[in-house]
Amino acid sequence: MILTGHPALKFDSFFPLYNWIYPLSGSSSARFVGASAASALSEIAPSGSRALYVHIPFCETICTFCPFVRTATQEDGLVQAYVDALVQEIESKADIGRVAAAPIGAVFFGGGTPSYLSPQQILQVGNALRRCFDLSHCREFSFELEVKSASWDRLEALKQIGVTHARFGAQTFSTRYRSLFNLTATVDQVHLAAERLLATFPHVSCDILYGMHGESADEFFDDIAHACSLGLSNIDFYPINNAVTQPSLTRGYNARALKPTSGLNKFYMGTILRSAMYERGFLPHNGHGYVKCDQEELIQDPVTTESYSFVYHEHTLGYRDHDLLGFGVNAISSFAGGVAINNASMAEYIKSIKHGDLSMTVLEHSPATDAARPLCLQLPYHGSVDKSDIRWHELEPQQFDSLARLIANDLVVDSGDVYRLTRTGFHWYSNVMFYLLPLAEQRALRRILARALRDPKKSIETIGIDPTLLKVD
Amino acid sequence: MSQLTVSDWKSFLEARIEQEQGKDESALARFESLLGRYPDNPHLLASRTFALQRLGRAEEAAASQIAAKYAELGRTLVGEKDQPEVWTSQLQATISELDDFQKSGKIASVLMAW
Repeated sequence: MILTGHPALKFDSFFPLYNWIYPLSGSSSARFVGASAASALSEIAPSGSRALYVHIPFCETICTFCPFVRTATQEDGLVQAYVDALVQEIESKADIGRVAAAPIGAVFFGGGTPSYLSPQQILQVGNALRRCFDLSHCREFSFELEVKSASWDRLEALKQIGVTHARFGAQTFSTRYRSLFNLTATVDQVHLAAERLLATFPHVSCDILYGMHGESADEFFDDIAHACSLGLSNIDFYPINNAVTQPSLTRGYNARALKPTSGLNKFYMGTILRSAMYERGFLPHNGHGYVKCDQEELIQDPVTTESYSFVYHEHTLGYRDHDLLGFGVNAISSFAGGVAINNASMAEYIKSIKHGDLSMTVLEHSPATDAARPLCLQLPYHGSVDKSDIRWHELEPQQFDSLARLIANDLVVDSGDVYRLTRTGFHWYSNVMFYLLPLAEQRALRRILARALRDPKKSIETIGIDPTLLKVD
Repeated sequence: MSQLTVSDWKSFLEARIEQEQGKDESALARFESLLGRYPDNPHLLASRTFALQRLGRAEEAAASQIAAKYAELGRTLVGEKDQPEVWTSQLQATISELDDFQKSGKIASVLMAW
């Protein structure tokens, strides 16, 4: 991937993944293996702020765009056994001195479908978190809902455990894409849920996808208008990541002879989105998220607003000395020097927790990987980074060159103590993110992409991919 | 350089989608119509060049590409950068690109890649 010097097409190619987990390049730990893996948590480095992630892997139906670990189930017994295990895991991890010591900045219930839980189960898990961790510094408590499950008794339970940010996935209002995505709620049910959530929580957001195969300009603009008509303070727009969608979605596209939207058109949709949202009084606060802003700030029209932040993403996408502690099947804990991944099998997760074992796999990474976070994640995704937050002496030499080239190509600007994305840089942010990554992370992403491109069950936009991106060392 | 209105951006996106469906004539007409209102817009210029190239109108595509380069120089070489030697070197690079095109039949790598 090279910078072209062209005034509009800044890169010679695009990288067709638009968000990813960092870091990916760790190696299996030699120190923390098997039954003793959990001892990695007792050596966790002090953190300036920690986010708690709780994974609820159950869904009523499986959405075809979703890459996350989940299972469609109707087994109440299994759900309760999982909730009991979660509570036990929360209690066990909170007993580890270093784990409990960090201030908790954000809580996020994700899935799957967290609102699959009954009100009693929500209270059981939420109260365990409140009992075991000090949430007095928590700035954001998020909970994801499927719109059909936004019943008043559930919302009351969410209020009781302290939820401040309710999030739901509308994804699209187009009949044909709702069918392709296997979204079973009606558009009326989306509206009803939005009304209830707005009446209950200070912040309500929804997710919208764009760049689907064969998506027309009318469908794209209709989704923007419809999402804005819900009256929400926040809307997150994601270009669809075709490398991680389900085979059934590919089959659906193929049956309708729908071709992938190219990377360049997705880029233009992102560019146009900013103008369309601005016209409706919204500004971006990161690479995906838009927030309603007051007139004064709209007149200033910053590249990204600093009046709102998605606090959970501060922890997962680059802020210095922020880390993440995960609970649940396959949940990730990401901290300085390592990533711990919980058991991926539901049965084994429940069994091991019942026996008092925190079963996990630990991957270790270099200090340079952590040092790079503010430069390669915070700057491109959140729009700016303080120079003092970058541990310059630990960066790889090519990262200095990459930053200098981005500045020379008007994608990043040096503003004294701070580096900022330019407006153009914001539109290219996922390429900028890839461009600034340490080499090992770039290689890991290339491997993921190469595997996905070879998979006949995937249908990925390929026009404009630089062939060297696919060359894995 | 004036920014496209949201409705003009929509028209541009419709043309880009047409282009990907192989409807280059129709896309080109839209790009040219928009260029009437935004003559220096680099996105429109690049897309127009690409459409011409796909339609086999290579000479026009090259001329369009050179015109876009020249417009960009006019936009960026202002103030302290508005120096004869800077213009000379930039124009030479542009001429060299044209030479490359005449030899290879390809315009700029940036446009080929997309």
